[in-house]
Amino acid sequence: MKSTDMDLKPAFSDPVMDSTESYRVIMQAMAKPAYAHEFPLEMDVPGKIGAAAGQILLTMADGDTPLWIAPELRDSALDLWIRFHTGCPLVERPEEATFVLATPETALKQLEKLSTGSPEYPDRGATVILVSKMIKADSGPVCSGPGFKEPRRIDFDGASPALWSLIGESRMDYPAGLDWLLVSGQSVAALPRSTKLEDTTCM
Amino acid sequence: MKAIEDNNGQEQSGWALADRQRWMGILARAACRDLEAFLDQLPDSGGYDFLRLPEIGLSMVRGRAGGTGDPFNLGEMTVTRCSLRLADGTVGHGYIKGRDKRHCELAALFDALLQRDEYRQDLFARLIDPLEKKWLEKRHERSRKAAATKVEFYTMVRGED
Repeated sequence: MKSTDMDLKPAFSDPVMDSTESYRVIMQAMAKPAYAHEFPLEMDVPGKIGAAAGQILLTMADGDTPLWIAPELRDSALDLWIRFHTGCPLVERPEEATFVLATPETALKQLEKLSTGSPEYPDRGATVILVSKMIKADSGPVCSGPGFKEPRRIDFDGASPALWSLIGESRMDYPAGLDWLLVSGQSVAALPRSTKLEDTTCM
Repeated sequence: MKAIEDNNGQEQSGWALADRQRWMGILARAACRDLEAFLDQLPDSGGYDFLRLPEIGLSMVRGRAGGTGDPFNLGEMTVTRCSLRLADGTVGHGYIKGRDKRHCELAALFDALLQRDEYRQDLFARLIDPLEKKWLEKRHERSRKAAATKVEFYTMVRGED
């Protein structure tokens, strides 16, 4: 207890205002999907997940949102930090999770099992926070749907045709499905389940 | 005080979990002005950062009638909590009843200092033990005053005929 406590890092310095600001970025990202939005607040988040993923969790996660973290992102300091600051339970099985922290590699192996909700309860679909090295706008599938004036492309480091088709399939049973938040450093780009992806096979 | 193993199997030196529970309880029951007064006599501890600013919330207090009945929710009480970290990384937590944020901050600060070997003995002798004594005296005084108002009831055997 004493020794692990030593690794505990602070979170938001002004919890109310900082989480409000962070919430706004997430809301904008969902309203304007497939576009990289920047979190203005820089933050030292333990582990390898980056400031954007850390702020999303601090803002959205709480005792009612079980979180599954992919094994390669697991880190004792990160676990401690999330538990202390958000109180959200860390689960061992991805299918129990409301929020999922994953990398492109694990996403392919583990995410078929995620809860997508049902037509009666679409809100039970999980949100995947996909940690990658870079978000790119000049390649990848063409996205359209609510929130798009004209179609946009989005891509990220580590993406593969198989992963894009998994992301594409996760919105076939609309309104049930998965919401995706691509994060990289300070940036977040959302792919809510309402966004249509085209060309997911021929990249 | 002896070294114990915590849940992770790591050895902690200097203090046991029960000691910490005791001092946290005493700090929570102490008067804020007593802690404040003691702070001035303290050698410089190198400052601290907040991990969690003092925040006020509610905690459900549960009771159990007679010690054997089913647990029930007695009611909610106001609780303030706070966590901070000393310059060397020691983390202290403060949980107090009521909404005195400064009291909570000081409770967390002393909790952190008490975990450090170089402060513990001095703090026990000059802060924790006197505070506990003061609290026990106050409690004794209250129960003595209450006991003085005790009324003995007894019923005569009442014959109907």
